Formats: sequence, structure tokens, C-alpha cells
Amino acid sequence: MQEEYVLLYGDKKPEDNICIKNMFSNNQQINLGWTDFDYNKNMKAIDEIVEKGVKQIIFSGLEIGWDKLIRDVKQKYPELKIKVICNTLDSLLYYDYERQNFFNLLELSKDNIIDDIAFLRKGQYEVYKTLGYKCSFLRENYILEDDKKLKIKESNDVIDIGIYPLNYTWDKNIFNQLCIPKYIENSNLNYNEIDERMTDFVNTMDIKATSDKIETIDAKNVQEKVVKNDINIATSFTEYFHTVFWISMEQGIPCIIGNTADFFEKEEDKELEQYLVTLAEDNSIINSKMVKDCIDNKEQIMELYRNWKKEYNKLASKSIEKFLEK
Amino acid sequence: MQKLKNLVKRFIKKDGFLYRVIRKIYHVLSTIKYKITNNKKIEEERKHYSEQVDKAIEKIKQYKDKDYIVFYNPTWLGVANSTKGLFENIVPLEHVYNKKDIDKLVNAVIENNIKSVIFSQICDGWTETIKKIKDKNENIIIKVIWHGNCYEYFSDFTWNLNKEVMNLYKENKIDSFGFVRSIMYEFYKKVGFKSYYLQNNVHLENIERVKKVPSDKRKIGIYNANTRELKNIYTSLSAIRLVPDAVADVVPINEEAKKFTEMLQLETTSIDDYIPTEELLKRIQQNEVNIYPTFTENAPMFPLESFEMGVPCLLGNNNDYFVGTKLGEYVILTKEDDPEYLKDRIVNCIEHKDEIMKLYREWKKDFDKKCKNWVDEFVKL
Repeated sequence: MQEEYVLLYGDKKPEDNICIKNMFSNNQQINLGWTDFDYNKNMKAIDEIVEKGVKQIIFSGLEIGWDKLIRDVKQKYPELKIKVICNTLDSLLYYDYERQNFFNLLELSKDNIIDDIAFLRKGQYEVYKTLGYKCSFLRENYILEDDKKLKIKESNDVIDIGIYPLNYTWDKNIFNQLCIPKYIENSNLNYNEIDERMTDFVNTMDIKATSDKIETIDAKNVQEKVVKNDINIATSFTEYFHTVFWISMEQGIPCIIGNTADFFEKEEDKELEQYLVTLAEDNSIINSKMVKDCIDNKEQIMELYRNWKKEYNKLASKSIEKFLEK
Repeated sequence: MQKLKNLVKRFIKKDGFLYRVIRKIYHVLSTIKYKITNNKKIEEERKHYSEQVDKAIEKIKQYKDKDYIVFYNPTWLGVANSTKGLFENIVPLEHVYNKKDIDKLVNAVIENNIKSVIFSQICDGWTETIKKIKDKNENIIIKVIWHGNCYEYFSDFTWNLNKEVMNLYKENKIDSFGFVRSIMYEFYKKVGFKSYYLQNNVHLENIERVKKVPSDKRKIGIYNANTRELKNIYTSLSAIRLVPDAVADVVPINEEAKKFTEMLQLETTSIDDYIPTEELLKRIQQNEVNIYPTFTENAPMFPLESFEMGVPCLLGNNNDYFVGTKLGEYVILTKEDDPEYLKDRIVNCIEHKDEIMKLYREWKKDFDKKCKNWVDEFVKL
């Protein structure tokens, strides 16, 4: 029987929160601020959680200041289980902020302050398991309830292609993705204009496009955007939460992603993987062919997805249970 | 000052009129301040760059009446090696800041009856040189080799430079472009630019071959990977940690990566600083395999250099080498951010090393011929 828990998340990575809140949705959520991190306020919130009889708290990521908070919480409540879901990858450790927080996370584990680290990528989990850290492999997921499904775009003469990076960062591979519609006849690109450079680029390169900015990153807003398109593209160089992919697929719109996930492991999943996972994230020629294939085989892809997702939901749910039971 | 700059930025629309005016004023004032406080250094730099122009002019004279010359910046090592590996009539030239120097260069091109001038990437002052050559003699053909891909437009500098050369093309100052990656060649062709396809190549017959020192350990190399996030050094180190009996040779390694190897308890034989290319090429001959799992590239030199030194190199699926070949199946990586996947591919590569090297040698013979044809096509008048 799993113990009662609370998931705490910050506001630095709202795109991650969309998935993490969905994965742990049955429990109370407390906003652990990042931009306005307030130690006393957060400690008080944790006191209230513990007073309610909660046996474990889970931190989604580790941002500045959280390590000290976690150490103090452990000292105050030695019996409380504390776990952290790692929200970075080796590929992102180039940046001081990511690396320092990651090192802090490992220190917390070494000092036995936290009881488990959940990694969202299997390869990363294998490294830290080999090194002897207490850790789990947690499968990211996002489940859309039927009543939240929106009306999707009906096919017409124009192929609407959606590119909605949720961050203007190097890993999102933005400009190579924006090249793709150039190869698709009768296409219109709808894109999240997070920087004016994107508009300048599509205008300069004469790509038919419409700015479709997501003002606030939350599930509802992303859902409303992706359903306008025949296909969405999110071929980042590296990812741990594939938020746009999940929302698009769950709404019934195919979405192409980079080879940056551990979704399609079985032999019978390979057909779906070949449609949706590009092995060449920066290659607009290969990826434009994939877009055409997806559009031509949309019904089949969505059928394959629905079958695969039923099984994946079970796997993901089991990985969450296992993580909570540790 | 930075705080004030950030405050102003918050309230003014980026690239709006007011933003541009303030940016211009800020730039002019910063330049004046820099010139006042660094007068001596600026003088020395001016002298250095003028001397480089004089040397370039001497070199141009050697190519009198030739169909083409290629300017390249010898301090940009990747571009320099690429240019040296492809062309014969090459002219080292750094940034050109002095208008008189530009005029001298332009006159040298015209006086020596050079039919076509190729710019291997663009340094400061080179676009001005292009304009002046065309103004003086519109029959001289100007070509630009663009070594980047669209990923690079994330950078203000590269995007603005790209727009500048695109405008020069539209104004008939540039006649065509050369690209070292098929995605760029096809894309720019599609956008409407006269484009040529090239590939980088290496010829390293002059590098000394050294005898491999027997060892129980498997030495795996990561080189020139600490400068950019794209080089993916941390995933590479994690992957090597998973390979049994592995030692990582990392050159250069910085403090942060060193700390990471300590955390991984990974044995290394690394050096903190850059070493000359020749020395590096001798050093890598001690390795079982080198890895280069970068996230995006064009036509990277290092993988070819590694193979030429007899050491297979695993590389990201982000360039045109080995595509569609058995060799490619062995050495092209398709999940660059996954250390466990990289580990499996490293082990597989070590197991099939002899076959991989044989496949490489066959591929290289064919590649040399193709490179020559692509260059011939590009330099044709």
C-alpha cells in the first residue's frame, strides 16, 4: 500500500509541470516558488503537510534554495520520506545553474537526506544506479480525459503544421524545425513566437507562417494551439518531458519528436516509432518527409498510438507506484 | 550599467525604432569608452591586422591570373582546416578593419587579374571588401562558403551576418554560395539562392604515425568538446563511465567537467588546455575509439581526422558523412543524449574496429573523388 504523499513543484519550468501534475494528479499540490522563493513560507507549508499525516514529500526538480530547505525538513522530520524527481539531463549540465543543482541533488542523496531520485530517462538512471545512488526510473506520462478532448482541425486544402517550442533555448532546435514547412506544398506554419527572430526568419526565408503565441504556458493553452494543426513537430535535440508530444497525441494530432525518449521499446512499437521519432533532429529534409508520411497515414498512426498508449499507461502507472512505494 | 540596460530592454519593443536608436547610442558610447581606455592595445591590433593584409596581398600576387582564390581566417581552426583540405589557391586573411587595407586588398585582386574570389565564411570587413570588389569590377565572381546551419541563427551575430550576405546576393554583390551540408544546400536552393554543395575533407599523410602503447585499459577520446553545449561533453563522459575498463582522454578539460569525472569516479588522462593539432593527432593514436556525439554539425573535421589516424570515431547523425553505408550503421549515433545507448555503440565499435577501419578506407577513396568533383564544380567560372 503506498503511503500518502504530496508533490511539490516550482515555477521555473511550467512546461514540465504540465506533465508532472498530470502524473501525480490525485494529490495536493503546493506551489513552491522559484522566482519568489520564500524559505519561511515553504517551510510553513511543509509543516502543514506533515501535520496532516503525510508520510512522504516529492520535489519535482531541485532549484536554487531547495537543497537547504530539504536538509532542514529532514532534520525536523527524520521519519518523513523525501524524494526528488530529477529535472535535468547530462546534456544540459553545461550550464552552471543546471550543473550546480544537479551536484546538490547528488550530495543530498550521498548524505542520506533524500530517500530516492527518480530519473526520467533510462540511460541516465543506469549511470547513477551503477554509481550506487538510490534511484528509480520514472516513466513520464500525460493522460487526457475524454471530456477535455477538443475539436480538432478537419482536413482541408491547407496543411497546417504546428511548431510550439515552450522555451527559446538552444536544445529546442528551433530554426532547423522552422525550415521544414518550406518543403511541404500548400502548408501553413503555426508557431509559438517566443522570440521575434522566429518571425524574422520565416519572413526572410519566405515560409508561409502565422504567429500563434502561447501567452501563458499551461495545459489548456497548449491544447488549444495543437488542435489547430494537421501535425505538430517538436524535434528538440534533448528532452526529458515531452509535453507538446503528449498533448498533441492525446488530442489526436500526430507529433514528430527527436530520438530523445524511451517510449517505444518493444518490437511491436517500432512501426509507430518510425512514424513519430526522427533519428536526425536537425535534418529538415528527412523530417519534412516524415511530416508527409504522417499526414498520409494519420488514421493508422492514431490507431497505433491508442493501442500502444493503453499498455504504456500501465507501465507508467506501475513506475509511479514503484517510486512511491520505495 | 547592465542593470540599466536590462531595465530599458524590458520597456522597449525589441527591434522597434526607439530600441534601435538607444542601442546605437549605447554602442557608440561603449565604442568611444573602449577606444579611450584601450588605446595602446587597439594600436597593436590595428598593426597586426594591417600586417596580415600585407601578407595576404603578397600571397595574391603568387596567384596572378588564376581562376580563383579563397580567403580564410587562419585563426578559425575548423574553417581554416576545411579550406586547406579543399582548395589550392588559398589566402590566409584575418579581420580587416582599416578602409585603406580594404582598398589595398581590392586593388591586389584586380591588379592580379583574379577571376573569382571565394570567401570561406565571413570575417569583419569582408562584406565591405566584397562590395568594393564588385563596385570596381563587376565581372569578378564572388562566392561565399557558409559553414553553419540554421541552428546557428539562434545567435544574433550569425543571424545578422546571414541577413547581410543574403542582401548582398540580392544586390548582385555575391554570385553564389557553397554549403557543406546537404540540408543547407537544398534549403537555400529552395529559398532561391544559387548554391553549390561541398564537403570538408582531410589529407593527413604528413602526420607522424606513432606506435600504440599496450594497455589493459580502453582509452576513449573526447576532444574540443568543452566550448559549447552542443558538444555534449557530460553525456559523453557518463557513457564512458559505463564502458568496462575505460579511461577518458579529454582535451581540453575544464574545471567543471573535471569535477564531473570525479563524481563519476571515471579515470582520465586529460589536459586542461588546447594542444596543437599535430600533437593532438599523434595523441589520439593511443585510443581505442573517439566519440563525437554532438547535437548539430555541418561537416565536422575531427571524425575524419580520427579515422585518418587509424582510430574509429562515433559521430552524431547530423552531417553527411557515411550516410546510407555499412560504415554509417556502425559509427553514426542516433540517440546522442543517452549515455547507455552511447556505451553500447562504443562497445560495438571496439568489437568491430578492424572491419570499420577497412570500410572507412574504401569509403575515403570514393569520398576523395567526390570532394574533388564538388570543388571543381564550385570553382568553375
